[in-house]
Amino acid sequence: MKIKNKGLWITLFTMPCMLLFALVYAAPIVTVFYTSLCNYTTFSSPEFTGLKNFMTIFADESFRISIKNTLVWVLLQSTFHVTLGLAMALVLRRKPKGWQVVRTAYMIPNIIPTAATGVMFTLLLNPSFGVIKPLWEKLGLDMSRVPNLFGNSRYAFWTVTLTWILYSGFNTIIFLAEMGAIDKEIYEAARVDGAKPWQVDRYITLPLMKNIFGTCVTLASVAMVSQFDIIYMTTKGGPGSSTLNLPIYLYKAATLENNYGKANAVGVVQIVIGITLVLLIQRLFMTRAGEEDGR
Amino acid sequence: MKKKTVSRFFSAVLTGVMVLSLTACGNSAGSGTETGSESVAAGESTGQEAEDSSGDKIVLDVINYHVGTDYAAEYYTYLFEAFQQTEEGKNVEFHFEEIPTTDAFNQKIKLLISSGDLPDIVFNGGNNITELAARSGKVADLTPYFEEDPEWKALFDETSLEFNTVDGKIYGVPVSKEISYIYYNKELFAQAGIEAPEVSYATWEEFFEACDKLKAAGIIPVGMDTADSGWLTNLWMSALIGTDGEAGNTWMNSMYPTDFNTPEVEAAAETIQRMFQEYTTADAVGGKYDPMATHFFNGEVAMFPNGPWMIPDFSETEKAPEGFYDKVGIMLMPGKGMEMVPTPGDMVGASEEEKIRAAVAFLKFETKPENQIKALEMTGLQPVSNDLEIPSELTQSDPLMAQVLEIQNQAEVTYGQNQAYWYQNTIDTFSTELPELAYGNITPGEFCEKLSESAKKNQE
Repeated sequence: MKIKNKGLWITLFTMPCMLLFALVYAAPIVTVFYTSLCNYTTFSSPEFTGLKNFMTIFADESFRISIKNTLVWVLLQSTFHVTLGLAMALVLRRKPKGWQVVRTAYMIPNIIPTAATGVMFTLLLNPSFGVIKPLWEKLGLDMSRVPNLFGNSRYAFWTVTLTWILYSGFNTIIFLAEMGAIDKEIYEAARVDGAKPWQVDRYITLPLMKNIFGTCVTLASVAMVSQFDIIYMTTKGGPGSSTLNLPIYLYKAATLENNYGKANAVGVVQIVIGITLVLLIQRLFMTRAGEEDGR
Repeated sequence: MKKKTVSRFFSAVLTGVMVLSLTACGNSAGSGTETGSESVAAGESTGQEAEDSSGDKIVLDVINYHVGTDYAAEYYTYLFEAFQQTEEGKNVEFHFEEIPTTDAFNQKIKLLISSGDLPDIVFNGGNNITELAARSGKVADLTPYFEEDPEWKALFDETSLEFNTVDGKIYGVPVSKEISYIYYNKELFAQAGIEAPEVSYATWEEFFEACDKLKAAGIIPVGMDTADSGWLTNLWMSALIGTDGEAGNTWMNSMYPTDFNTPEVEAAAETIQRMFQEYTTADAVGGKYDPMATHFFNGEVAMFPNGPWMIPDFSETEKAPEGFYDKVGIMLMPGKGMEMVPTPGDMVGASEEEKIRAAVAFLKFETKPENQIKALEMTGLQPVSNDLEIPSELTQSDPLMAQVLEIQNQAEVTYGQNQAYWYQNTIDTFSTELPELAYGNITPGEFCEKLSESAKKNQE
């Protein structure tokens, strides 16, 4: 069906979003960019100092570590985490026995507030009264060496990662919704042609998941660039800088050093990384309209 | 072509919206962790309504973190209500915003200092807030109010007022003094066959000999922590530095130190490393204060550094087992050392003269000798005024508190502690680098180097 005045409708429907963007984000973003170039603290009004804040943060080893950690988490989240959600959706799509229970149970960790998840894991993995100590004892291992998973920088990064990476329920739901939209006749045709279940997944389902996979990767990456609460609740970026990421570094610069100029310089780096990631992912996954239509 | 351009434009806008949502943290740093609720004392209405309905009443905005399970919640409830019964307070109404936890409160106050929207009475949760507020010019200079009431001024010693003075002007009204020492479990000491000293171990060597005996008896000698600000470890470390000769004591009494690579600090860091590795609980590294206190209450740890505000917890059956109060003894840090710092005082954020006077009246009421004694009895906060007459019945009703009042006079060495004297980001570095020190991932020298680097960031 041909829609008249398509451009007008697009404008009308996106208007609320654009207005909100202009009001809530645009003005603060301009401020963030400007004040990142200023000496701006709790005591002083912004005073232009050029790139000094950027030179300061890039000279700081902790900042470089925070970028590295952020990018590693983005990579893990956009690959392992999203793939796990997809794998779960592929299993649940076949509706094996108890699939509804599993689907609901797998969603539960995603609806628990992250602050509560943080507290739960901190207690669960406490080396004195958590689950590790009795497990260690059962395995007959040296009790003086019960691992302190959040407290020791050797394990902290992976322990923090484990608090979220396995819970891909939202991705599973998105994939399931997309799978439900695939025309059933395609599957029937494949079955008539003698395709095995794995062949159906490999040659029909997965190729049709490409766009939504890209969307999930984008969402996962963006979430990781701004991940804050669970890290703050569990390790606050420590021990040392082992779990420090950009939002925690920014938070500390703003609230502990009272240096808003520096914090906003971190914010600018965060925005640049975020935009770059979104554009890269779009380029990787999104099929161009022309290609899709076969033109 | 046109369609493609429109499509690209909207695609770019939507991408922008998604990515710029990342900056939410950057734009509102600090606000995310705050939770607050509002109420009006006595008026049962809010803000403007309270003012309207109360005619010529003066409404004072207060952000109160002494709420919920806070050790002083009950005392402050009394204080606000009792003030409204006085001549000075009968026309005052309080408009409260409640923020549980000092940490969330401090973050909120900092944001308000920055935005200039401070409440009329600014409670002081530490973390260098006095200096921040004073330098921002958003709190009232209280010097004239002290000068016009010499009797009130005489309640405070010079050190306490000086601690609340910035550029020659007094901005904070100190309400108590902070002291800390060691609590020990008499039962566990007896089990290990140790006789606790009357006042303190003469040296740290003697202290560690006792630790070894406790350890040999299967008892964990000391409580330590690293999370949040590493409060307990901070008290041990401050004591190790503060009792290490004149140089150490001078260093530990200095405000905002930036050089941590001194022999005394490095030696203290080395001892702290040993304490983590040999004398404390497995969960001390990465652990917060509360679980560590529970270890002490449960008789799993023999010695615990802290201040008198902890005493009410000993007889609180929700926190400690029945009869625990009687098992606790008190000693000073080795070498008769005791942490003692004036507290950062409460400030006035009001700008209208009428409100400033009402807020000052409340602060005067808060620091009345009777209320200082009341605070001591209800919360364990040590009176800021010297030579107050302590009621004799305290010895009967709270013998531990009476012992605290007595033992503090026997301290021969006093020093500060990091939460009062260090830059806030340095306290955070202390907390995040302690685990690295504890596991030997960094040397004591490197630990001190990291503290120095962190402190120097404040001078960039």
